[in-house]
Amino acid sequence: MTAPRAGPRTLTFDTLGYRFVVVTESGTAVASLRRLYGGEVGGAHPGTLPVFRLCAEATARGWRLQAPGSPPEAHPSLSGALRHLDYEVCYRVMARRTDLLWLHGALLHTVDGSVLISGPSEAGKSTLTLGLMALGYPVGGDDVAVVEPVSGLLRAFPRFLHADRHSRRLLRRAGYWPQSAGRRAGALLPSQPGAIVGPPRVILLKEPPTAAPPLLIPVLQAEAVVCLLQRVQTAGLSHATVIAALQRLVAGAVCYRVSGGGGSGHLPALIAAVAAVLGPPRRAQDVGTAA
Amino acid sequence: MEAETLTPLRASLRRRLDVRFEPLPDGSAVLYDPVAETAYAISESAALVWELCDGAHTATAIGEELAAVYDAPADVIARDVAALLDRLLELGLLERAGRGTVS
Repeated sequence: MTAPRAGPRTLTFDTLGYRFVVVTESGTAVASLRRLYGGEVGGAHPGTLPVFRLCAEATARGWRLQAPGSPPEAHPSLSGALRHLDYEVCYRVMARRTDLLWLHGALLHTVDGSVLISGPSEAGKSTLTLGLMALGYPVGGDDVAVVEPVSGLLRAFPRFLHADRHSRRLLRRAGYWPQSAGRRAGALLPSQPGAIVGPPRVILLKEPPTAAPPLLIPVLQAEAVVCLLQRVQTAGLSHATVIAALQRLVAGAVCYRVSGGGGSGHLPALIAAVAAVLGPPRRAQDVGTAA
Repeated sequence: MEAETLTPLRASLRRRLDVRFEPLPDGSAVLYDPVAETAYAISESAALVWELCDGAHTATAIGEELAAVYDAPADVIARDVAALLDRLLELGLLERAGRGTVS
């Protein structure tokens, strides 16, 4: 006898002032999304809110996600569908909150303050972030950091962590796979999604990994500003506002350029070198609260 | 030697008025060219050179000012200053000031 199939559940959540609804029959998806965004499960929702519909494929293994105003897209795994959903949410909020600075970077927390890891795609930010998470550093996110330009307050936009197969293999081989990530590759949750913090104490400008040993070189704060300018989305802000905001962001930070450290052989040394610069991780319960 | 640089030692240079100078706590600074929409990072000593490019100081005078601040041989400082001024001229961030100073 099979258990009766549960009906679809509804999660309504708010992120940076925008509300979304997810309707899905997957309890795992609801639990993961609620840990990421917060929000309320069940109940009616105003019909005006954008609705994501996530359901299992009827005839084959896999999941189908329909984002508001878009045709359904198939995904072979639930984690893939969830990452697509969080990308759509991020993209939609980013398109509307043009009053904020959107930085390509990871955010984590130490005893003495927060740490921003910025760099281009494929620079290894997520691999480094997951390695530091395995050492106990609370992680806000590994992809998008949001800066409020006037106050300088900083938060990671809630997104699932991204570790591709190569990155997972490197981390596992080096013994740095975060325990909280579990054994299987699922939708990895940051430990402190949405935590709001002040300007960072350390900024790491991560270069794409090379076969050379890892190297952390202190750089001028001005160099960090120029580098971050290349990693920022600022559709609604003037250049003057952006530069002033980045000035405030780096003003209290020690900045390093991080190079080398590619390959499993160098990964432990890279993580250890960065951890030595950062100091002890912050206790998760001491990190700022989510808005 | 004067002939090795674009900037004559007696030339006075001035900052382009629309270029933003954004100092940072560690002494470095960002120069932002709004026309080219490009930002440049400069060191503390380069920031001092930039501030001395007021149209009144010559390249020689700027070198002398820096020699009073930094513990380095005067000829090394003069050469570094000339190279920096050349670069800032090439980038179009500086303009030559006054008549009779253009080589």
